[in-house]
Amino acid sequence: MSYTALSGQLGAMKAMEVMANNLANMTTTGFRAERVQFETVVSKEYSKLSAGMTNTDVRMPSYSSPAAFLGIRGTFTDLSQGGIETTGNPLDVAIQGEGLFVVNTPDGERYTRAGNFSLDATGRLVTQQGHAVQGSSGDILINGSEVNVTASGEVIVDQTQVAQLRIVDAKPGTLLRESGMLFSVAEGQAVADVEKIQVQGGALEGSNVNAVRELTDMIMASRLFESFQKSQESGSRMSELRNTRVGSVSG
Amino acid sequence: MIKALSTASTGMDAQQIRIAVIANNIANVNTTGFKTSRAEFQDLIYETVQAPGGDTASGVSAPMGFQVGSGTGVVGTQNLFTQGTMEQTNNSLDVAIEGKGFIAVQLPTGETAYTRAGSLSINASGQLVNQNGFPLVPAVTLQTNGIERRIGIDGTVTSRVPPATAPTSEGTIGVWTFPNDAGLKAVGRNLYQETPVSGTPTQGTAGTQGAGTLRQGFLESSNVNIAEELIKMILAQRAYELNGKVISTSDQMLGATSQLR
Repeated sequence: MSYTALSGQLGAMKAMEVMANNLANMTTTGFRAERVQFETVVSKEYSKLSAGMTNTDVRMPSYSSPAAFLGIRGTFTDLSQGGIETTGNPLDVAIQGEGLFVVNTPDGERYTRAGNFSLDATGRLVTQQGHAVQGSSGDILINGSEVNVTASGEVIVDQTQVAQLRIVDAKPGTLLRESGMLFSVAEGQAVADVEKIQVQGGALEGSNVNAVRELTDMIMASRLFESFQKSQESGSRMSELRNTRVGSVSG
Repeated sequence: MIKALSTASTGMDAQQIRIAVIANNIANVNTTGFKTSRAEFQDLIYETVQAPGGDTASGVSAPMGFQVGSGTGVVGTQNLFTQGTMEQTNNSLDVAIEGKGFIAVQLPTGETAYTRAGSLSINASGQLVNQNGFPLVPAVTLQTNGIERRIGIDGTVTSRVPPATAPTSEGTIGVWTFPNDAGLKAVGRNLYQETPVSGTPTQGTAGTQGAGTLRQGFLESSNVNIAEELIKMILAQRAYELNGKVISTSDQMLGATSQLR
């Protein structure tokens, strides 16, 4: 009893931590919300009665119920579209629909949705963290005054196309988060290039954290926590009664 | 639970910085040549309880991972060098740069700084100086008694000294460009300085090699968009409140835990 309640409380706490991270990143460009999925873990059956027999070979009339625990199956990245705001800054790019930008990091290829790009000292297009954004033929060099990114992801510098942005898509549930707005794919998984690229230059995609949803989930988690607290307390009270009343001689 | 508290506090810190940047933008809405700035954020380290595809206890690979983040942090503030609106002043020593580039000035320390604010004037030795009195680089020395001073779109400064009838050249205002404007360091007084990420400046002639052209009699206003800043401010305030709410909710849960017996 008390362990079931404890598992629920731990789950609510973990969910709370995930929501806290979502809300902290509510205004982070390109941030994708993380969602928690709960599951019921059936841990133990009090008596294995599928055979229907007890040791005295008498059929028991009912089935003893198993103890269930609430667990977190995992978290997954909500890849839904965030709001797009126009900034007028030519190096800002927002992806419309599915996909992720490809960046080159010291640890290898990584993916991001944050399109608040900048240039480095050599004129390469880089993310805020300084990782080079990848086009279909590697790093994107911008040496010129007028930069435009077309709706299909072509990078135009002074009326000349210099690169084509690479946008890839990953299977749901295969993305692993890293700090600095990066995603990597799980081992043994691969990304696929998006063929019909849809981006918007001079615009940024905000985070897709929905404050109303996070807030209601947070209230739910805290109420869930409280109700597990109550069952914890009544369980404790029952044990107390058992220890003090049972076996005591009345009168 | 302590983690949710610290996560929320990073969120509150971030919004505080955001508001500070917005306040500076709004305060400089009427500053000539001021470039709006924005704070950029990123997520922090993730605690990976279980990587996607990892083995669960039952020997089946998990269809999803389990990761808990630890909040947000500032990755930097970025100056946005979009064109500000041109304001006509009719002052012959006001110049605005249309397009990319900066006017360079020499600081008293000998270092060079770059600016978009082109409200120039003349110092005691006849040199063109910026509003702080710092001489331009390359220096432009004006003729005494020069009248009908013209600054061409390519930066050439000419004036006529009576009784001569033809104007004579006094020098050229250089326009300097950087590979990465956003990498410049703002040092106050409307000045920027070179950094390793801005790249080395190139002295160009106005109107060539990507450098903008000069407009005499105009000043470039700040590129701060007040409506946008106010919206960002409202968002920042609400986000701050929500993070505060996370703290109070976590605290309630923590309080309830301490009541356990």
